[in-house]
Amino acid sequence: MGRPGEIEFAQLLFGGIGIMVMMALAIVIFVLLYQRKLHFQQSRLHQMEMVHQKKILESIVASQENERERIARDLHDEIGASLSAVRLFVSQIQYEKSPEEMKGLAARSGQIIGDVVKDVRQIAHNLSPVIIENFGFAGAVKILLNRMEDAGMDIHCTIDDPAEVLSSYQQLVLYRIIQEVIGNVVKHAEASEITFDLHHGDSRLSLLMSDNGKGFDMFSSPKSAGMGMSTIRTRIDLLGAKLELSSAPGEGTRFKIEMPV
Amino acid sequence: MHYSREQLIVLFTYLPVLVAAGMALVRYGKADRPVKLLCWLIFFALLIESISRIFWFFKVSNLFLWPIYITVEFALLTWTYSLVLNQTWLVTLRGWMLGAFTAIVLVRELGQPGQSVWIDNAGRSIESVVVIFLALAYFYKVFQELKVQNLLLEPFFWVSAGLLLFFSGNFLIFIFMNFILLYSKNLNDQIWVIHALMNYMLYITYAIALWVGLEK
Repeated sequence: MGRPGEIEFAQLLFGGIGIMVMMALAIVIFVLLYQRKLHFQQSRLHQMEMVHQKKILESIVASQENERERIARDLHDEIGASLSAVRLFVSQIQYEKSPEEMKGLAARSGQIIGDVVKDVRQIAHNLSPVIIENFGFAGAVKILLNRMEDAGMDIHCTIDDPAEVLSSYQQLVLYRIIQEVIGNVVKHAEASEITFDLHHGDSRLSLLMSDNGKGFDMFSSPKSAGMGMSTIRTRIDLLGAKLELSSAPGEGTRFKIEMPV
Repeated sequence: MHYSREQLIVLFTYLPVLVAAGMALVRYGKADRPVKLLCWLIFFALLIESISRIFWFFKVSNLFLWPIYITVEFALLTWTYSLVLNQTWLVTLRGWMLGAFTAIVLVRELGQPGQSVWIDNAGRSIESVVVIFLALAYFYKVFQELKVQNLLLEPFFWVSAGLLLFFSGNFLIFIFMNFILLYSKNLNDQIWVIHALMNYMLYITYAIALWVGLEK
C-alpha cells in the first residue's frame, strides 16, 4: 500500500470500521448503564408503592377498629345506659302500688325506649350506606348537618348535588370523609358554627368545611396526624383528591378538598 | 516455516474458539435451549475452524467452507434469538428467513463458478444486518421488561454485545472484501487482521456468556 488513492481508501475504510465499532460500543454501554438506572428506579417505585399499599392497609384496619370502637361506645353509652334505665323503671313498676306512679314509670320507660329506637336508627344510618341510597348524597349530608343544627350549631350549607358527576362508590367515600370531619368537629373543635360548601363543574369538585372552633397548631398538634386524619387522608387518596387543611389555635379549622370528576 | 505477524494473528483465531468450545462443553449439560443452540454454534465453528486450518496448512483453498458456515451460523442465531426474544413473528418468520437466505447464498455461489478467490459477501452482509437487528431487538426487550437487575450476569447480554460489535465492525469489510482483494494485497491482509481481532472478541464474549451462565 503506497499509492495516494490507496492510502485515502484505507483511511476511509478504517475510519468507517472505527466509527461502526464505536457506535456499537456506545449502544452496549448505554444499554448497560441506562438499564441499570431504569431498573433501580423501577425497584424504588415498586418499594414506594409497597409502602403506600401497606399504609393504606394499616389505615383500613385502623379505620375498622375505630369504627368498632365507636359502635361499642355508642351501644354502651347510649343504648346500654337507656336500657339499664328502662330495666330499672320496669323493676320499679312491680313494687309500685299507686296506678298513677305505675303509669308514670311506664310512660318514662316508653319514652326511653322511643329514644333507644331513634339511637339505633341513627347508629344504623351511620353504619350503612343505605342512607345515601334512600335520600341521595345531598339528602344524606343534609341529614348529617341537620343533626348538628338540632344539637345547637349554626350551619351554613350550600350543596351542589354531585350525584351526576360521582359514582356511587365515590359518593360513599366522600360521605365517609364528611362524616369523619363532622365527627372531629363535634368531638374536638367546641365549635358553634359550621360552613359547608360543596360545588362542582364539569371537571372538578370542590368541598369546603370550616368551623369557628378552637382550632389546633398544625405543626405540633398530634391531631393533624392522628388516626382520624389518617383515615381521611386514605379516603382522599382513594378519590384521587387533594387536601388543603389549615388551622391555628383559636381560629377554627378549614378543610378543603378538590378532586377531578 | 516462517509466518508473518498478520498471519499469526489470523492463525491464532483458533484459540478463543477453542476456549469458548471448552466452556460450551462444561456448560452444555445443564444449559437451557437457547444456550444449547449457542453451544452448537460454537462446536460447529470449532469444526469449521479446524477443517479450514488443515486446508490452510496444506495450502488448499478453504473458501468452500464459507457459505456452509454462514448459512449454519445464520440458522442457529435466528433460531436462538427467536427463543430468547420469544416473539411470535420471529418464530413464524425464522424458517422463511433461513430459506430465503440459503437461496441467496446458493444462487450467489453457483453464479460464480471457477473463481477460487471470490467470497460471497452478499450473504454475509445480509446476515450482518439481520443479526445487528436481532441484537438491538434483544436490548430493546431488556429495556421493555426491566426484569434483569445486573445485565453483566445475563448470558445473552454478552452474546448480543459481542454480535453487535462483531457484525458492526465487520460490516464494511464484508461489503468491500472482494473489491479489496483485487485492489491491494497489503490492505487485504490488514482487513483480515481486523476481522481476526473481531473474531477474538466475539468468541471471548461467547465464553464470558457461558461463564456467567454457569455462575447463575
